[in-house]
Amino acid sequence: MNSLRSVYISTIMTLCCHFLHAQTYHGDFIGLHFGASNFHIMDGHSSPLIFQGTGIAPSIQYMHIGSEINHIIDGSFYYDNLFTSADNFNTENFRGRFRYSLFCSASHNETAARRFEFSFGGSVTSFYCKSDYYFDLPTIRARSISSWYWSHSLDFSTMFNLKLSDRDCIDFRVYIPLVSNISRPEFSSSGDYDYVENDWVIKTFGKTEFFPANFSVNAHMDYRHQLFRRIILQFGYEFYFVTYDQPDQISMYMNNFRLGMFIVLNQ
Amino acid sequence: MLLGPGPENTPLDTFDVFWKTIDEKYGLFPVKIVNWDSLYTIGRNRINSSATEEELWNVCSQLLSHFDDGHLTLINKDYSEWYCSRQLDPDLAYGFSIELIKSKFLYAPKVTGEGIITYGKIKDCNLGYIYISTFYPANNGREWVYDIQDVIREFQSTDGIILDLRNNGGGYAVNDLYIASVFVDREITYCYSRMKTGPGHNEFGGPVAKVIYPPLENLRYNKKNVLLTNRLSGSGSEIVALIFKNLSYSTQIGDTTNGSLGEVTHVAQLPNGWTLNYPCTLITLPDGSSPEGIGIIPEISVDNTKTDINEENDKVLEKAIDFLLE
Repeated sequence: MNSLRSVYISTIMTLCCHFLHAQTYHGDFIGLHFGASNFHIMDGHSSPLIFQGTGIAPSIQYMHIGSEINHIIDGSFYYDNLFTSADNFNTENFRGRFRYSLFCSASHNETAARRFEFSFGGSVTSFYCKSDYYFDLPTIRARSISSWYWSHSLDFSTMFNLKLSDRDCIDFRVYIPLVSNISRPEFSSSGDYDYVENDWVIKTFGKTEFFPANFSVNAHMDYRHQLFRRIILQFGYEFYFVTYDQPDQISMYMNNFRLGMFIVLNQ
Repeated sequence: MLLGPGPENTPLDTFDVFWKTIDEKYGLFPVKIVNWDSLYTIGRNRINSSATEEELWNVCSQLLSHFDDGHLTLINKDYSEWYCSRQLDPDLAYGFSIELIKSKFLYAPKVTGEGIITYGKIKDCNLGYIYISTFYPANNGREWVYDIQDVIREFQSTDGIILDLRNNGGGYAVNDLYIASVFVDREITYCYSRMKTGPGHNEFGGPVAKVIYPPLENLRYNKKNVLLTNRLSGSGSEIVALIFKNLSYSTQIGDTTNGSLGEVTHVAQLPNGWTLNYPCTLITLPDGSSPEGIGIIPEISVDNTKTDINEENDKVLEKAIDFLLE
């Protein structure tokens, strides 16, 4: 207990020390990150059961941090083997996301010790989630059905940035889709082997929905530390949740932790 | 937590998922006289939280028996038990013997297509005989169905062919359609398929025409043929029979087919690890009726009993030979 308290106190003191050296920085950065994803999904189209598992979550990110405008382009990939209460069922899940975000500085507060900045803006996001549901037979692993969720959205996004020092900062970003176009399978399953109009052929576009249909929240919290002049270390946490009710209820969420590096292109 | 509690591996949750899956996804309610809501009450009253797996199995299978559907099956977790909603007399399978046909009726019988196709010329006449045991894939995964091309080439000079689909319970649609196409002389719309579009028992999309096309000229066989069926000719075999009904040079002989034409079967997962296979689409004929639960009725009805086969008689095949030689 005492050692835990010591960790807390030293962490808080370290953060306080960083505040004393706060300074802003601008520039272009490109980064590569690796990490783990803990994913949960219930897709009524395929199975009423909740599947969950932990997999990989690499991502690549480009940031342009300006004095008033920030641009972020990021691509993420996720892969998990998911399990449920019945151990003869399992699901292979691939997810991917590509996003461009634009943030405009709305307000900032700068002191000698630190700088807070609040920005808002919009983003264009494409998020893809494909699941192959399997069941284990005595000799083979058979696929029972495939399902997908593919959303293309225009999002409202906000960013809160706290510069802790000239080397450290924390970003907190939230994305909420306002208009989405979602591709999902048809209601009727196509477990047949040569029926190409439904589950086995993924459609790129589907139904257009407005907030709060296709309700989704994607939150990122990234801590960055400049190791060297051109190298920045980043530790990030991401939370994502989405729920949609066509053709059957699908809900999923994931917690992702990543560690990676940015190369400073110019500063 | 964010996804809700989700069904758990309990008898009550498993029963509820079982019932709801059928209620919302099963595609043949319009042609089945089943009061599924009443059966829920009956079944649920017989299940409690301490019900054994056997008790749950018995209740679920009894509910399924009301559909009398060969595509509706419940399978336990380790695949050691299997319940099919359509229960036929097991002795029906003994009304056919390929070994008898090979020894008594065929001259130099051959087997191809990874053991799935047996063929040969009928003794003392210029007729070809082809038996296809299944439309499922071969055990080694090879595309066995294309071997029919060699058989058809070999039979080009025959006066007629007997295609035997007795005891063939179906399989992959791509295989039965390929076999049927060999005998087709033109583009044929043989049925319509309607897919479920919502959870209501009668929520269906519009009919989609199912069309078959003939293959290249040198791979066709458009002379007289006889299709042999029995009550165990199901699913894909019935689709072949449905297609052959459009051919003026084809005659179906034997017994009515199984009556399980529900296309597109889906495997649903139950919380206790059982799987439930069910059809999602409704097949209708061009006149709007459905052969589901009825089967495809032959032009000439003949059937074998187990005794016939034991006495080395195949009345169905004999009738087919006589018919083609007339």
